[in-house]
This record gives sequence, C-alpha cells and structure tokens, in this order.
Amino acid sequence: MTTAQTHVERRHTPWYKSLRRILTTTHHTEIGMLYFAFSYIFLIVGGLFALWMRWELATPEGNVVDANFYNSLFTVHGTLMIFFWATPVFFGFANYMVPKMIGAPDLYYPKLNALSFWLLPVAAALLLIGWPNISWTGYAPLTVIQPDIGVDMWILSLHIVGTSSIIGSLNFIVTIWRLRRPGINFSNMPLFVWSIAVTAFIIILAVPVLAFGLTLLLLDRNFGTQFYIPEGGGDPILWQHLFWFFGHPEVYILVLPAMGIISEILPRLVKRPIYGYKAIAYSTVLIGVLGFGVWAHHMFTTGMSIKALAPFMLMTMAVAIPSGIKVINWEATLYGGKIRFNTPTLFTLSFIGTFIVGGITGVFHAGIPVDFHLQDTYFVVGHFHLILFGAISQAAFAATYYYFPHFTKRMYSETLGKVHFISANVGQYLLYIPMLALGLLGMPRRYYEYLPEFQGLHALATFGAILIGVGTIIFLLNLLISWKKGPAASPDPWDAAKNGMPDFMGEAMNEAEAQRHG
Amino acid sequence: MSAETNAHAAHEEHEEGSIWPAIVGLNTVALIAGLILLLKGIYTTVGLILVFYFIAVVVVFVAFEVRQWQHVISSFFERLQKTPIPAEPEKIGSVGFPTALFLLTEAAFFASAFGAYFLIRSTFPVWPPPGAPHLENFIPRIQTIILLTSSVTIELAVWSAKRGNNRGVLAGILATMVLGIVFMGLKLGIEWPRLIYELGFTPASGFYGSSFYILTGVHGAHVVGGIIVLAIAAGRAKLGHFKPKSHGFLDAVSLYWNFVDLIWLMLFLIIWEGAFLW
Amino acid sequence: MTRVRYVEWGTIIGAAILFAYIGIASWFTVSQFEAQAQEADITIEVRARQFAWEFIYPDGTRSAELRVKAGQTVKLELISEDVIHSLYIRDFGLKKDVVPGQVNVLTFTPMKPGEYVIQCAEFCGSGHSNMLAKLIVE
Repeated sequence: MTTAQTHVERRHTPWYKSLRRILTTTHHTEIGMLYFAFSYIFLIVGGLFALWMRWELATPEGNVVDANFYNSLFTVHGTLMIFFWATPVFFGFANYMVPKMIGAPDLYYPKLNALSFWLLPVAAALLLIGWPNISWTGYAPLTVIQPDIGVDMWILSLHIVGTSSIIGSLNFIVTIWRLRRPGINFSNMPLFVWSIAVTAFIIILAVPVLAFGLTLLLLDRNFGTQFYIPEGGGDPILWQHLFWFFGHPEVYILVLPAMGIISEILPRLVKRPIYGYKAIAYSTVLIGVLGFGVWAHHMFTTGMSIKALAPFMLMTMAVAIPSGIKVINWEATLYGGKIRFNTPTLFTLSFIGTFIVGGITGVFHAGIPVDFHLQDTYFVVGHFHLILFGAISQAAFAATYYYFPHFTKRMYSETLGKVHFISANVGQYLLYIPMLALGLLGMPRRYYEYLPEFQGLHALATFGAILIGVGTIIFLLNLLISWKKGPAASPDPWDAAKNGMPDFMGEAMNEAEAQRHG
Repeated sequence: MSAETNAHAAHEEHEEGSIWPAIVGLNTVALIAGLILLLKGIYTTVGLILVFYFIAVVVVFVAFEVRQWQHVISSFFERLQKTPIPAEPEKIGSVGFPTALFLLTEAAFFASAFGAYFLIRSTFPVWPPPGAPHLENFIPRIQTIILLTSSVTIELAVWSAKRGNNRGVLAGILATMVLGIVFMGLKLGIEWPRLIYELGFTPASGFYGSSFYILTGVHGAHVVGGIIVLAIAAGRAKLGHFKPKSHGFLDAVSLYWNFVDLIWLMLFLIIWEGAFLW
Repeated sequence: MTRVRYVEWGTIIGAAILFAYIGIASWFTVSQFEAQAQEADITIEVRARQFAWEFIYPDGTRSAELRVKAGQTVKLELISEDVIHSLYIRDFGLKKDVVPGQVNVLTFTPMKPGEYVIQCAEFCGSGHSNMLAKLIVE
C-alpha cells in the first residue's frame, strides 16, 4: 500500500511537464517514454494518411485528392509507419526494459542513447516536409529523374534514421554484452533481450547497405553519376539489390522485437513458463541469419534467370520454418495455461492468430510462378499489412497494455481496451481479407484509380480501415485518460512475480540481493 | 522499495543528464538544410553557413565531452559499483568490442560498395570500358606507401601509450595525421584535378567514372573522419588522458585507422589497372 | 509434453517436404516458360513509356493494343524508354518488369479468344494507374 502511495507522490514533478527535463534526460526509462510518445504520434499521423487513401479508394475514380498527392500519401505512409512507428516503438520498449531485464543501471552509452532519439524528430520532419511521391521502395530510375526536392529530403531523412538506429543498436549490443548482472547469461536471458540483440545485429549489418544505396541515389540525382542509369553502364536493378538487401532484413528488424515481447508477456499472462525457451531463442538467431539470404524474392519479375532466383525461393521458404517453431512454442505455452481474458491476453492471442494468417499468405509469394501473378498486387499489400498491423502493431498494443501499469503506476480501462480489441480485429480482417482477394483478382497496388469491377471489395476495405481508426483513437484516449486519472495499479499488476516470473528479471534479482544484504 | 530505487536513480540521472544529445540531434536540421541548398546549388553561401554551423556545434560538443570524458567514465564506474555487475576498469574502459561492432557496420558498408561495383562490372564485356582513360597508378602507389607508413606510426603511438611515454603518443598521432593529410592532399590536390581537368574523367563519365569516384571518395571520407578522430586523440594526449593501463580511445582510433588502410589496399588492387601486377 | 515435440517436429518436417515440393514444381514451371521462348510463333516488341504501352509487330506496324491469335505462342520483348514498368496480364497470371537498359522476354500461349486487360504493375509515376492496354485474342 505504501508503495502505491509513493508512486502517486512522485507524480508531483512529472517529466512531461518540464521541457528542460525532456531535453536533458539521458535515463533509459525516460528515453523509452520519449520513443513511445514519438512513435504513437506518428502512428496517428500515418494512420490518418492511410484513412485518407482508403477514402480516396472507396470509389474507382479519383475524386478526393489528385494523383500526385495520392502517390505522396502512400509513400509517406509507408516510410512513416516503418521508420517512425514500428521501429521506434520497439526501441522504446527496449530502452525501458532491456536494462531492467538484465539488471543494468542504464544503457552503456546513455548520451548516445539520447542522441539516437533526438535524431528522429528531424528525420520525421524532413519526410513530412519533403512529401515525396516515389513509393517507399523508391525504385530507380524513377527516383533519379523525379525533379522534386522532396526526394532528396526523403533520402537524407532515411540517412538520419539509419544513423539513429545504428547508434541505438551499437548501444544495445554493448549493453547486453557488458552490463548483464551475474546470473543472467545466454541460457536464461529474457527472450525479449535475445530478440533485441539479434535485431541490433541485423540493423548494424543491413542499414549501412541502405545508406550506401541512398548515397548513390543522391549522387545520381545531383551530380550526374550513372549508377542507376543504363546509359552510362549503370543498372536500375542495382538499387533493388541494395534496397532489398536492407529491406528484407528490415522486416525482421520489425518482427523480431514483436515476437520477443510476445514471448515475454504470453507466459506471464497465462501463468505458465514459456515452453521451448531454447527453441525460441535459437529460432530468433536463425531468422536473423536466414533473413539476409532472401532479398531477391522481391525481384522475381525483374527478369533474373531461374537459376539465380531458385536459391532465394528456397531460403524464403526456409525462413518460414523458424517462424513456425516460435508459433508452435507459443501455442504449447498456451496449452494447459490459465488463459485470462484481459486486453493484453486478447491482443497476444490475436497476434499469434494474425501472424499465422499473415505468415502463410507470405509463403505463397515464395513460389516463383505464383509470385508472377501476385507480385505488386494488393495480395502483397494485404499480406504485409496483416504482419505489420495485425501482428507487429498488435504486439506493440498488447505490450503497451501489459506494461502500462509499470510505466504509469496506474491501470487502464479494461472495457475500452476490449472495445479496441474488437474494432482492431474485426477491422483488420475487413480491411486485409478484401485486399488479399483483390490481389488474387489482379488489382495492382499503388493505383490511384482502378477498374470499376473492384469497387465492392475496396469499399469493404475502407469500412474496415475506419473501424481500425476508431479503435486506435479509443486506445489512445484510454491510455491518455488512464495515465492521469486511472486507478492506482499494484507493483505486480499481472501476478507475474507471484508466479515466479517477475516482469523485469534483472531488477528483481538486484532487489532480492539488496534485501539479503540488508 | 522499487519506488525508492527508481526515484533515487531518477534523481541521480537528473544531475547526470545532458542537453547535448538534443542539441546535436535537433541541429542536424541545419546540416540537412545546408546540404540540400548546396546540392541544388541555390543560396550556396547560406548552405555553407548552415553546414559549418552544424560542424561548429559538433566541435563544441566534442570539446566539452573530451574534457568530461574521464569524469563520465569514473561516474559510470561508481554507478556500476552499486550494482552486482562486476566493474573491472579494463572491461569498462576497453573499447575493443564497441569498436569491432562499429567496424562491422563499416565493413557492411564497404561490402555493399564492393558488391555493387563487381555486380555492375560483371555486366561489362570489357573492363575498363572502351574509351575510358588509362588511370595512372603512380600516385596511388605513393599513397599506398604513405598509408602503410601511417599504420606503423599509429601503432607507435599505441606502443608509446603502453609504456607511458606521452610525448611518443603525441608524436605518433601527429605523424599519422600528417601522413593522412598528405594522402588526402595527393588525392584531392593532384590526382582528381588531373583526371577531371586534363583527362575529362568526371563522376558523370559513365559507370566507370562514377564507381571510381564513389569508391575512392568514400574511402577518402573515411580518411578525413580518421584525421578528425586523430585530432581528438591528439587533444586528449595533450591533456595526458592516455595511461599505460587505460588508453581505450587510442586503441579504437588505431583499429579504425588500420581498417581504413586495409580498405585502401583492396581498392588499390581492384581499381587501378595493372596495379596488382606491381 | 512429448506430444508438443511430436507436433513441432511433424510441422517442421511436413513444412520442409511441402516447401521442397513447391520449390521443385516452381523450378519446372519456370523452366518451361523459359523453354517456350525458344519456339515462339511471333515476336512482338513492347515499348513502355510514362504512361502508355506501344506494341510493334514484326511487319513494323505500331499499335496501342496487343492483338494475337489464339493458340499461337507469343514472345514479347519488353523495352522501357524511361523508368521501370511492369507488364501484367492478370487473366494469365503473368508479369514481367520492363527495365530500362535490358530486354526482358515474356512468353505466353493464349487459348481462349476474348479481350483481356494489360496493366502496369510497377509504380512509374503520377499516371501509373492509367497505364492500361487491351489484349485481344482472336
């Protein structure tokens, strides 16, 4: 009881009221909160762009915005959601939790950690002001001949984000290697820490490749070099190689922390230790390694020969196996567990379900002849949105609900949480299943106007998007109101410590040791 | 209990916090604005001013940091001593692992550069493409000797640091810096102008030209970066920061410098026609 | 808990077998496409530009729509004049990128007479969604 009161007392000088505190903090929990605030703001912005696009697509003819504006919308939506929502939100969790989980006082380089956050607002502002219309993949030579200054700003914005994530990743790897307290090692380290370690390695190996590709693009645009222009002997396909060598591992940069966080909260929610710790940890590493060998599956239709493509097809299918191992281990954890139907559990379950649907629709693309039909259609859009929204974002939601009492010492509203769950899940299937169907029927993506025969499915998808939007607004209102006015939460809100699985393993060990000594 | 430690930690951190990350991070907007103006060739003076303003911010930041570095390390060390994490100075101060990680990103960067180069080069029936000028390899040979010598001088600095000879450290670092500057001078002062103005071989002359300038240019940028960190190291050597048992920064700089040297050797072997026959 | 082990290994091995099958089947299907290109009855040059298709027949006539005969194996030589496009015949499930600087080949044998849609499937600029053409099989 006294602890709860101390928590509330601390709120008299809250960090968010003091701009100075925000600007000068280097403490990992506070940087984590800044990452959260940042990424949720851009979830809203990117979501509004998505709704805007869906509103435009509700009718076959373009009558809401003009074609260039629509192209900018999907470009900025894509870049924003990947670099300013899905990546930073898990960086936020990692900042808050990794040091606590390994018992460290802070990250190894606190100032660099703050720097890697403070680079992000500039990058986001550049992207929004630049307002490029080249699609998030930025295929050359379209990006080379596009005269807009916005494309240059997009390039530089990605450079900054890349720098920020490389700095952050170096910091996390060194922290995990050097600041683990005795008793926490690679055979009992929390799975989230495992996934962050692997993610950080992927980032430091993949992002420099993107940086190089972007540099070449910048030079091609401004200094007349000919890397991506065929006239001087360059090759547009080079951009695709460089981009996807980064771009596919980027998918794992997004999904591995989500999987890690689910592996943390699922056993605590069902009061049963995680089944197959080793299998989950090793499959994380395996996904990270295999993820570097699949990039050309985005390029099946570029005219490369079957001999060059076949290894990528096999590798792509091979990546599905470690992902499947994880799913089976989560299900085995559920089996015989006490499933509580509170909001984080529901979102965790929907993460697993949607991950299966999204993952299996992904395996279809691996078959080269199938991909000839599906490449660059709405099937792809439906597939990766099922993963990015249905799985990754819902894992972030589940974890936000789960750790909310830890972050704010208050409890959110369970009813509103369930409303959010229902709207997000009904909405996502109404939105993405029609997209899958549209793709199978042959509707290419990035179309501003489309043939009238597709209107029914598009209208259904728009309806689903609105449902998701409403749910997300409810979610954020729930968080904001509960943050101020919610009932005080106990320090062990999910009885995790009571069941022998304290939320932050290292911190719990530190406290136990401190109590023993005095 | 946990609240107390939290509050304590937060209080402690409040004192340790720093405004510099936010200043440097948010001021990148000046750098980017300047770069865009320079790229587009409009208001180039304003662009230059903005870029130099950002550089000045970073210089001031580094100047402050360098003074504080020892304090930062020792306070971190003190914080660790309150936790069960073993706080051995050699483990905390050693930069071998972080530097190796940083060089891993650099390696990925150069691997993508070499990969892209060979990917496109393999599509050419003959290399160098017909009509391209013959790249003279006299200057690169001198540059190779210079860089190899500089690797020796930086190792000399590390060796002196291990023996506590501060003047030797300073001499080694300055010699390396001078060799690096001479290297860049040969490239930017003699080789490139000759290629561009006498032979008309510019970055815009086809993929052959583009790849030559990007590979040597990216390497040159790393040499310049090396010269800058060497300058920082020289400043720290002058302040007497490098002790026989703690000279992690110098170790890191020498690792980086040797890495850049290695990259040069690879470039030297693949770019200049006939260089590998030497 | 051994039951979970069985499920786990069953899934892994089952998936591996399934994937091996898909891999082999894909290999043969695509090799068949590539072999088809050797014995084409007619070769048509396709020129793609922002934002239109142009088809150049062996006799030199140019047209904005593609006319072929049913049962004839058609070889399309895809040439781009500006940026990357992608020729997509959704009813045949065929797609090939049109990449500047290289000539890609797309081969198919239409069987059923009728009218089909050719779409551009690679984002190519503001008029991307209007880059349509008609495929008429007689």
